[in-house]
Amino acid sequence: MGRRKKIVHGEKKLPSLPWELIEEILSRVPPQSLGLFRIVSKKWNTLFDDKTFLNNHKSTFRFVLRTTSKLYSVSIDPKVVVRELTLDIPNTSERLVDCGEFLLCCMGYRGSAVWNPWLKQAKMIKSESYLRIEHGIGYESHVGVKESGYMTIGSDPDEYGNTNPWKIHDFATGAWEELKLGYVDSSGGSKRAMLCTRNGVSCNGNLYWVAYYNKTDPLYHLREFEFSSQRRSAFVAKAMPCNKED
Amino acid sequence: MASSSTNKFVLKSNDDVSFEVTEAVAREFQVIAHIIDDDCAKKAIPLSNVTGEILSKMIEYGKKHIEEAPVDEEDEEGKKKLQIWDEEFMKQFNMEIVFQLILASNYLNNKGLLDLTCCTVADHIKDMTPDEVRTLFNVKNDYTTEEEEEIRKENSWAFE
Repeated sequence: MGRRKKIVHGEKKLPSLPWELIEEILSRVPPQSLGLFRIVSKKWNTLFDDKTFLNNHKSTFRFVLRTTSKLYSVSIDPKVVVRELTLDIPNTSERLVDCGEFLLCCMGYRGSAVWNPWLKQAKMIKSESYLRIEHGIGYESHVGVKESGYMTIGSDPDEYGNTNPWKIHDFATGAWEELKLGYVDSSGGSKRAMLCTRNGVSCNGNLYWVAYYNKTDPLYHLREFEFSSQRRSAFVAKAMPCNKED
Repeated sequence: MASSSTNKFVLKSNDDVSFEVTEAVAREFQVIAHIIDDDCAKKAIPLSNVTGEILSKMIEYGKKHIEEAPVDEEDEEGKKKLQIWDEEFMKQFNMEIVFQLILASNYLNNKGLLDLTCCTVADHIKDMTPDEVRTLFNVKNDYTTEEEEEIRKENSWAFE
């Protein structure tokens, strides 16, 4: 904090605050207002995409808890705070998939609603050709690229539990793209797999599922899907140290 | 060693106003606590970045938080009482004083007062327009008209 010029008596000018103190203040401003403050200056706009700032924001929470009729956000740092969330999506009884920053509210073949509990915004994604959107949300996780490219994938489970075809939906453009997927396992072979659970777990932009190859093979596999455009062509599977008989 | 309730220290503002406080109140400010621990506090402690007006308010806050400190973590009633006092305490100040309190509580390192004053400003600006916020924080708009329009479009939900 350098030496400030003495404020002339009677002048209405406020003392100017150093940047770290402006950050302290902004970390206590409700997220809804921060969206509006993006146009204050370029520095402010950049701050609101900064992971450290978002993690320090006082209304940031770690995960969402669900009871039969209510939703709660839970923040754990510096102390555990549980707040009730109001969800303005109809049919909250539908299946909810926790995707880290977002909730995916699945409404069967009609599509899904993506809900941002932080900003209390919801957006409907209409299903295309009756695909179910229930796996989760991912993004391109290149280092240095602003993580704005959120995407989700839809699939149509056939009677054998196979999921085919797969289509990817880009939130920014609203476009659907069919995926020509290969299936690569750790040994380099290619086999079709069945998912044990429809919803995946999102981590660092990728989605993960537990899967198995066929009913007679007892071995479980961890299946990964990357949303990065270069690596979107294949599922990667790794054998897990457990099987169906365990 | 004398107990912290009888041990007295003198805090001196940058415009030469002196305040005698108990050790407990002085220790509410981390920086002063360090000076005491380093045994450099024989005479008056000069605080070069704080005026008498601001220092008197900070001491008032420190005293209240020592005297009315909640008994323990479970003392919800005590916490509530102090919280109400905090809110009333902040109501008397205009933004210029609040900004000076932020600078001073950061300088003297009092986490409670820094949080309280930052919350006051956050609450004050949350319904402001970007232009009003720029004026308040003395921020220059460095967007071109096109860039500003672009950001507005991307965040149209916020401008509704």
